[in-house]
Amino acid sequence: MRENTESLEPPRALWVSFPLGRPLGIPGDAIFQLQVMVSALDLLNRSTGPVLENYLTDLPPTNVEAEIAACPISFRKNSISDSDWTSRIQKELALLQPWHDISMGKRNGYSLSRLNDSNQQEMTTKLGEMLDKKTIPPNELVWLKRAIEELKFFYMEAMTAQPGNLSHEALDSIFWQDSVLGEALIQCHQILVNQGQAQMARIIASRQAIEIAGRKPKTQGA
Amino acid sequence: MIDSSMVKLSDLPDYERKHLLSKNRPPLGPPVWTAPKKSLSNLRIALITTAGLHFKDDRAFNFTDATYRPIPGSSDANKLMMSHSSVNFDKTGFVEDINVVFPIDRLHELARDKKIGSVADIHYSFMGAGLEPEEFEASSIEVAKLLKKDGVDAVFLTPV
Repeated sequence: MRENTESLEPPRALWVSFPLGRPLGIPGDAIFQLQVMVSALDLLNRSTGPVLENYLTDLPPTNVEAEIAACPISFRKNSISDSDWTSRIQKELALLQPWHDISMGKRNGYSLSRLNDSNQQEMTTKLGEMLDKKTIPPNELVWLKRAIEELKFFYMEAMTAQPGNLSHEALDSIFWQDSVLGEALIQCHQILVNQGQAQMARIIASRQAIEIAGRKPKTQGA
Repeated sequence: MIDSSMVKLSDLPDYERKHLLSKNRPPLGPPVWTAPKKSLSNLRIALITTAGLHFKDDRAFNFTDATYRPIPGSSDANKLMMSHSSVNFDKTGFVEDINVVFPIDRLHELARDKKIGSVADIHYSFMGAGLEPEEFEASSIEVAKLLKKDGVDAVFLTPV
């Protein structure tokens, strides 16, 4: 945040207007990233400081609704009618597996997620049981956070392997509104709040995620 | 240090705006300023990120964690993973392209084109969440010493 940097006064800083998590701007756009980097490195030539300069280029505007309407991703959350969470999550993972395989192919067989054939069953079963029982034991909180991160990276890799070039806002909307896992995480959040663990709940699902999940879904396929 | 980061406060929901503004801190000490002694094309540059990056076999970051992970510049950056505990920033950009968070390929391109002098042997990753800046002091001093050993002149810092 520009305001945080103003108060902290680092010697040289370039303020960019990009979303949190994307300091270089656009994934896959080497020219755009280089321009940002060169502008920042140019501050090393200044002879007096501290310097806090604005980078004047914004990201191109996005039309999230149009992106979602044209999006090929369909989680079919509403058509997965199993009564238990484990089956619902596992069915959704099976639908995403071919896309995750494509993602791994692009990365020379590597994945950002530690989810694999041998631990997937155990992880989804344990998560499903917590959701079915509506109880998250305090001694499982670290496990839960790690498991959720592995699952989310699996989803992000699968979703970004599909055709199209969706903005992160569109990916967020689709995940939190249409996916079984998104619904499961909102449930985990609620269980933790009910258990009096609001702080932990906030690192499972952000306030923005709760807000997105509560909106009317915009996808055609769900 | 160069701090290439940040976002428009006006784009964020009210609760997020208040949360981030609560993180305003005064300078950590007396002003630190180093005037340029060499041209950019002669500087050796390292990357430091607060994105909680590390290799799969490294120890993951804890929910709050002031330690750091070294990242050799010669290693395959596509094998880096992220164990940052915050859910308040986008991670899909990182999934699509590591350079959007950790611009190692761009840094090597700048060295190849002689825009900078050279790329450090080792870069560093912290996990910036849940702790006050002062709690990173010991790790920061350690990393500064390591950077000096590596002959690094300047650091390109990417917060998330």
